[in-house]
Amino acid sequence: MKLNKQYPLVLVVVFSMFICSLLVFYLQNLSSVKNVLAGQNQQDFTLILQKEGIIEDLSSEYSFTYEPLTYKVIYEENNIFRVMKNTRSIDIPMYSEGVAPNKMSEIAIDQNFSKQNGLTVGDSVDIGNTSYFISGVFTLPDAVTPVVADNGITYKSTNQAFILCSEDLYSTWDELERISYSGRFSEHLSEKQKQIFLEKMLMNTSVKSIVNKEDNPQILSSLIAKEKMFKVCLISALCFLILTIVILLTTSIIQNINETKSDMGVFKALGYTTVQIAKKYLVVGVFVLIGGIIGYLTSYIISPLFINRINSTFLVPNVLQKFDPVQFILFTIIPALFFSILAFGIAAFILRKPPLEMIHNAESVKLNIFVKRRQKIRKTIPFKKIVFKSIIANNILLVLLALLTGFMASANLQIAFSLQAMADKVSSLTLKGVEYESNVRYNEAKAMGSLDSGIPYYAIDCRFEFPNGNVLNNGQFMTLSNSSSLFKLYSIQKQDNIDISEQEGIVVNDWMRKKYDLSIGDTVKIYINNDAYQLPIAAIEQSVYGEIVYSNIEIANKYGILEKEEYNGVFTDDNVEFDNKQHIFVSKQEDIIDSSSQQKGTYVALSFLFIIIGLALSILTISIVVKVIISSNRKYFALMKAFGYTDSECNRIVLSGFRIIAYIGFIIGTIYAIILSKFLFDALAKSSTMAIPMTPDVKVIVLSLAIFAVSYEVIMLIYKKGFNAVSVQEVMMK
Amino acid sequence: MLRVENLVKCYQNGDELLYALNSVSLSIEEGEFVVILGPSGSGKSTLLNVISGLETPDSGSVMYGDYEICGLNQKELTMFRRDKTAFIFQAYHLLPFLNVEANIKMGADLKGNQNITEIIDGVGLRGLEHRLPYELSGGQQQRVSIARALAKNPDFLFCDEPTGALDEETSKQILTYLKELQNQLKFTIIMVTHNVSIAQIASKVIKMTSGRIVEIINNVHPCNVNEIKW
Repeated sequence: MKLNKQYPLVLVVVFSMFICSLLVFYLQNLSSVKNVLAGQNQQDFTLILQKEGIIEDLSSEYSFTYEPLTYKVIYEENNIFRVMKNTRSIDIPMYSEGVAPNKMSEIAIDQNFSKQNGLTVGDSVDIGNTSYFISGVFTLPDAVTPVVADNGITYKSTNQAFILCSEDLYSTWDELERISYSGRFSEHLSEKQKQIFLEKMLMNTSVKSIVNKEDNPQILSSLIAKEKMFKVCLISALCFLILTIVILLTTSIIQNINETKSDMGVFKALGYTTVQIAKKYLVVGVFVLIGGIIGYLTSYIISPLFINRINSTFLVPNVLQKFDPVQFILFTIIPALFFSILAFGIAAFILRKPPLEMIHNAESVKLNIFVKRRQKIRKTIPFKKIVFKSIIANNILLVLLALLTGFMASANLQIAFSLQAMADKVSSLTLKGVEYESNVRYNEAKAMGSLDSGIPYYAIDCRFEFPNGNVLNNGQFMTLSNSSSLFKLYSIQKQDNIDISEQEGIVVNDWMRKKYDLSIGDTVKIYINNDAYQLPIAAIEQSVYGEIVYSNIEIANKYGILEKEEYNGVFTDDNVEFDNKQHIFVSKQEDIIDSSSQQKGTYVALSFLFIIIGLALSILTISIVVKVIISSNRKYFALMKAFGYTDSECNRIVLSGFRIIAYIGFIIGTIYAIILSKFLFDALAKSSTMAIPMTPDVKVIVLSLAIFAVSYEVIMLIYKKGFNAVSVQEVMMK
Repeated sequence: MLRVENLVKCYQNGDELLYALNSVSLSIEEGEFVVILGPSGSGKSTLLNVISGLETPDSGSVMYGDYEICGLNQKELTMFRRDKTAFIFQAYHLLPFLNVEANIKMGADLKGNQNITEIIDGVGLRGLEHRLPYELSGGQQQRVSIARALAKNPDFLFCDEPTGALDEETSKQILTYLKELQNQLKFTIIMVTHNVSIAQIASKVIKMTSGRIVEIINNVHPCNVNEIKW
């Protein structure tokens, strides 16, 4: 097989490289981090009780061992520390450096804080007025998505840290201790029994919340969500990459056979068998192998670039990429063998004809069923159109490739931009949904007298029972005194503000609607202090907050809630001291922006990956498609020029046709991108408390179209020169 | 009238300068059947390329009436070829993926010639319109090539060894077609060949050797195609 003109084989190498590096990147980083954590985290669930003192009873009733996860949060001027005892037997810390602290002068710090501040074993950290030596650096399997502060301040690894210390040291801090339980079912229980027990505990009114580790945002759910997103993107990308490789290989082989068919006919006439001739096409596997090996090596380069961004919001152990012989064989040698055999099969199939037919009808291999169907051309069709149609019909594989270029560019660019838009939407919705105060505090009603109360509200932890039977134990019910409260609710149906004072029921958010299968008119049973209230859903709002439902005063009065309860909170702009009392979670604007920009890291990394796959491969592919078209039809264009067809006419006949096809691919890609984005957004919504409406973004479509159009036309402009360089003398030379 | 004066065309071959055309001058009247004869490397094909506007000379002039083509750029040359010329090649050069009718349309469309039926009939291809080139014999393919050329109503038909790949009988058929069509349509034929027999049917024979014209013979009574000995 002559390699000098086999441009598509260059693409095969590049595509194989992408496939291999993406797979290795996924398996050795994202997937393996998840697996390591799943293995390290020995708990089955995290439990928070309404009131303490019943854990023993629950433990024996539902057959689980438990461990109290106590912590204190120390707020300092610049830093926030969450201190915990180092006596853990279920959620075991993983030390990347040093050992667990066991002296009064020692502490261990988390890996993110260590990295951000350049601290290591032997250094010291000041907490209060005391310096403590660092004995170790760890990650926690139950703080994969870290939350250090408990007042809603967004996590920042620069000045917030998890601290592990000895029990003696822990007891020296006076801060309020908070407690949750890490539970682990007896080993003899089946998975089904475990699930039943979890559901039963969830119904227990003494249990405030119970979450299994896969659904726990601080343990695995966020990581699983990101991994799932990446997996969806990866599978989608791989399908098209593999399909493209198959088309490229088939195109290359057919083109090569076209060029050498007559020679091969002679070989057959001399006594060579089809198998002997087709054997030379086994060489294409080498290109896949080369691409695979480069891809395997590239994954070592791209991993640090992407994994740091993707994991920037997590506290996860470092998983070093290592040489895995099974993966190497699976992603390099096996595909190479597969494509070698495929190439051999295609070649053997095409070359099965008798030698004389191959020698005399060297051109006929190009002809296919499409041409024969088109033989009866109406006389009214202009020649240029006939040529265009014939080129299309004779190059179905190239047409598919051209279609794919538009598709790849469109789908990948739009998904890339959608991912970025998603991060922006989260941020903007949050900012839109809540007006921020830097000092919003929740205070006991009795304490309100000392404050300049602005807008009072009533908020309380409660339990929801939904029409589909699902239960949410750690919900919150909030009654707002008027519609101009600091919380602004946006209607998901009307895309407009909800006037809370006019609602004849509660307002739930879109995330709850999806998760609990709710709709307007459904009745939700709300348990507050063991009293049950049934309230209808009046509106669905777009909010990033997950577990709060809202009503106005009249509704709260009408259904009897405020008969027994009083306003117990206020939004204020007073700068009061944090009092360790329960408060409403309200983030500061700058915290939300910080959080969003951290989140963006993942999306930016993913979208960058999409842009590379989409645009770069699309440009490369269309270049090769045009190059192949020109080189395989060079003689005919020269002839047309000799007859008096101008360069621009020849250009138009071929390039315009492929332009149309590429743009059709773009349209299909747009539809695909919208469907996939919707799927991704839904996956995200299911695994978090965010509900982001996925609507086709015209700006994104136009931007993607503009980028694609500019790239495409630049390529066409470059190739026009090549086209014009086709000399009329080439006909005479022949 | 086509007038060629002092045409020079050189090719560099290593350190050596080869004169493909060396001060070639000639004139051809409209409606003539001109045969350019000569051995391989005599410059006959180069002369055909230059006077047909496929190649540009190093010096000299090619005048179609008062229209000089030697100073034209590629675009102007293309337009000249479009309006005035047509070609027939030894290797036919049909577009293999198009059927007979579509191949003929290649020429017809350039001049807005919608009626190709007559031409198909004229070259005896009736019934073969929907065949693809590889389904035709050599002679049939060359007839398609002729039809394609004539479909654009050329003033000058340039033929480069049109019968070079055909047997005697088929060659005679092709030449007969050409002669008959020329009589009907009154275009000028300039044919390059190394076959001396064909010269007998030409009204003018130009003999070339080593890039020079060595003899121009005006044949007052050209033979009929059937009369020539192959």
